Amino acid sequence: MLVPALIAGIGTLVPIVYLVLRAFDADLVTVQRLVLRERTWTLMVNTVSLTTGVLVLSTIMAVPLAWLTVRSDIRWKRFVTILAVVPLAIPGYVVAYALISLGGANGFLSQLLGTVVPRPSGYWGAVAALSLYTYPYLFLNVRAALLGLDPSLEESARSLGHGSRAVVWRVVLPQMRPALLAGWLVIALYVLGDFGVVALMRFEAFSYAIYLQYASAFDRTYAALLSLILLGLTLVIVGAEGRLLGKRRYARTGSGSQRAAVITHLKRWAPLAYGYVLLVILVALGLPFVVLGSWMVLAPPSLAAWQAVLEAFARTASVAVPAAIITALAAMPIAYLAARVRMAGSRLIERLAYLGYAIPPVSLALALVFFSLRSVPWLYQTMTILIAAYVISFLALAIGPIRSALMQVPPRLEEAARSLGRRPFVAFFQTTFPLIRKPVVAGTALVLMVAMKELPLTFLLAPTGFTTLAVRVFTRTSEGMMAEAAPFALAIVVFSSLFVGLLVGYEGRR
Amino acid sequence: MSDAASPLPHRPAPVVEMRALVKRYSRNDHLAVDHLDLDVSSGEILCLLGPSGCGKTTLLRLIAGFEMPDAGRVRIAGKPVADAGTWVEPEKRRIGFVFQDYALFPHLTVRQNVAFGLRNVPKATRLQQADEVLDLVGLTIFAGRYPHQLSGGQQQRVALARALAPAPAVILLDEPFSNLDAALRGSTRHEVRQILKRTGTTAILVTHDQEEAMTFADRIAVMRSGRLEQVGTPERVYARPQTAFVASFLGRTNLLRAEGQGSVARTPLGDLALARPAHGQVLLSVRPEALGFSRNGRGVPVRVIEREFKGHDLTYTCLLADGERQRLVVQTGPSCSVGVGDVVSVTVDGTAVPLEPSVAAPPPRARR
Repeated sequence: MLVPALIAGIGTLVPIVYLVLRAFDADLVTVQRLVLRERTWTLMVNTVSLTTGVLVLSTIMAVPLAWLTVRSDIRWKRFVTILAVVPLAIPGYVVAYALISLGGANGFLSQLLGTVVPRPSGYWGAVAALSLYTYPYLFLNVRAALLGLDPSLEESARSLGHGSRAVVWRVVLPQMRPALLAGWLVIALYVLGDFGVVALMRFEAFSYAIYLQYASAFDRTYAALLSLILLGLTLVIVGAEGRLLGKRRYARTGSGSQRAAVITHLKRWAPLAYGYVLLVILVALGLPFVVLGSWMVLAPPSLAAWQAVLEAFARTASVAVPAAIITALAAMPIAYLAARVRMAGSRLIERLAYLGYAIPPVSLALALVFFSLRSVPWLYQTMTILIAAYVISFLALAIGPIRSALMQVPPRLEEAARSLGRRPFVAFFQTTFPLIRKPVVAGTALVLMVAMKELPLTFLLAPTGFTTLAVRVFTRTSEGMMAEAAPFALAIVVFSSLFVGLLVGYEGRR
Repeated sequence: MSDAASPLPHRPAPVVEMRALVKRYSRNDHLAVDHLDLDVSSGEILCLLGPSGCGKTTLLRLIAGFEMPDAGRVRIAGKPVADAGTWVEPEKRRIGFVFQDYALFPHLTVRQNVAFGLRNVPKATRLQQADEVLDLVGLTIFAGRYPHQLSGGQQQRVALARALAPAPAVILLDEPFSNLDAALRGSTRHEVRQILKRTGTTAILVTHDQEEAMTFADRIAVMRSGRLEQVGTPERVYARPQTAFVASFLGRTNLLRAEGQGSVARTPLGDLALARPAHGQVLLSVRPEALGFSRNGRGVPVRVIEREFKGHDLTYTCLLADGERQRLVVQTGPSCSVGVGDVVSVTVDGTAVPLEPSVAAPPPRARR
């Protein structure tokens, strides 16, 4: 039980150690000179302002939408909620692709309208693309918090003489704080880790700059240093979230069952609300689908193109499926340790798994490149190292659901099985495992879906000539071949959407 | 059950033997089990009784092998299962365990739950044998149901059947009745006891409920701070408590400071006959039912400050009228006309039990 957990935990640390080793290969003076270059500062400012921009825009999109679907009297709330979540299935580089293919001489709008619209790019292009696909994370968090908000708290505040606006500021918003922070953290981690969007928008944030530095191959020390700085920035943000959340209690302290949320009647504001919902969903969901659909009509792909899509799909699955299964197998003992064994070590191993999730993929990819070149050259640019990267990066995704399911299964069941003559491992598989099978399958499926659309790890670590769907979309788009990229992007979006649907359905059945 | 309750003429070899058992959960914690010795003989039902945090559940889990002792040894059916050089895993100990929350496998039917432990039985006869055990607990008709479709009392009996099915050397029950409501508790307790006796099963039951211990046990072991305060038949432990802790944990009692003079003692209630000789300063336990109100003015005057009617009897709390702040609890029949504020006389009918100081120090802090 301990061995796989240790392996999984160490899997996260070893690459980081190699990153440090590689970065400090150079003498300290060189390191100092590189770190203090003006370019490092520019990248830092770019990355931080990109993150800030995305947080602001996604908040503007997510929070009103969450409030409207929980606390207002708009209709089709369930439907709106599902439509608001679906963009999760659309990878950032596809959104960027959709935005980019709107403009330009070969662009969608020029073919449609005959006028050349400039391509969105740089800072605003990146902010738009990243916000459009990350806002559902904030939406889901805020929505859950609003649903869990105890109406009697608001009523108490009203009875204590606060007006409705004061109640929002002094009661509702403080209660939303953990949800906002959690949502912002996830989005910030995405922005820092994102490679596809910033690369396609040609905006020099850290991950794009690291890639350029690495690809130009002149100065890998600087690439390693930048990776470390990006990793440091990520850890600072994770730490800040924990610090901001603090030790305050937000759960209800009283007992008794909670009443349903109070609904606000929009009355004359209703048209504005519907307009807002429509706008957000049209842009976030409609844009990629309309653009992809139109390319299918404007430039229908040939049979050969579809065959290429199918081949790329098969290649993608050939790494994603084993990665998902190995991830789930590694996640189980870690989740078990975290949920069951009260040891300082078990918490640490779980933390390490989450660290693997937080490491920006470009940093992780470079770390694994350095690691394999230095210690296991026969693994360099192999499927093994690619799958290992997926496992390190996605382990936390599988641990989450398995761990919460384990918490709900009383440990007494295994003890009962042992008192009835089962060895520990058999006891687990005969009693606990049947009860957590669903979350294990769901966790595996989630990892599979994320692995199917993964870009930066694949792009940097895959064997030469091994292209997945995501890599195809990325390379075609960066070469300006928008129509050629469309069928690959469509395949990803359709697969992911179907999978999200299946996952929601599977979780719903009990 | 009078046969089992009477003291046995000769003790057969114990089924469970514990010697100098020690368990500590973390280094700076107090001892959960503190150098404890205890034997349980074949066919006997032993209750471990004590307040929460006294170590009784830990002791049960040490016997089962869910916890590893820090020192001492455990033998089950003559075989060492835990000592300095031996460790037998729970699945090899021939124990049955009934959990407080039953821990029935929710994904298996009642029959499959009961058959779960029948591993050395051929598949063909396994389910049949499970049905036989279910018959024993009177649940054959529920064999095909799932645990969540049963009531609490039924789940309880399934848990018992599951533990009994592999014919364990000893069955360990961890507060098995505490999740049942009061009305069901008494009848389930009675049924479980009958089943255990009918099958001649050795059982150790953990409880904090003194009434449960007294009705269920052949012997009671009163625990406090990881140690045994007293072990004996329910009657013995109730009537002849050795310490103030045992006296007040098994029902209400009056603790009186007295001056022992051999077979009698001088007390605020006059000279009382002693259950065993004592000399000098001594603390006495006198049960409320040994006290009564007298009509003819004999006895010691007291003022009634509280009256509790309980249906089958009445319990009075009185203060000695002589100015000492000694409280007395007096139990009478249900139709006593004495009321709050009355000044009446109290007489003693029975012996007072001299108490010894506790072996165990009071717990340093409550463990939850």
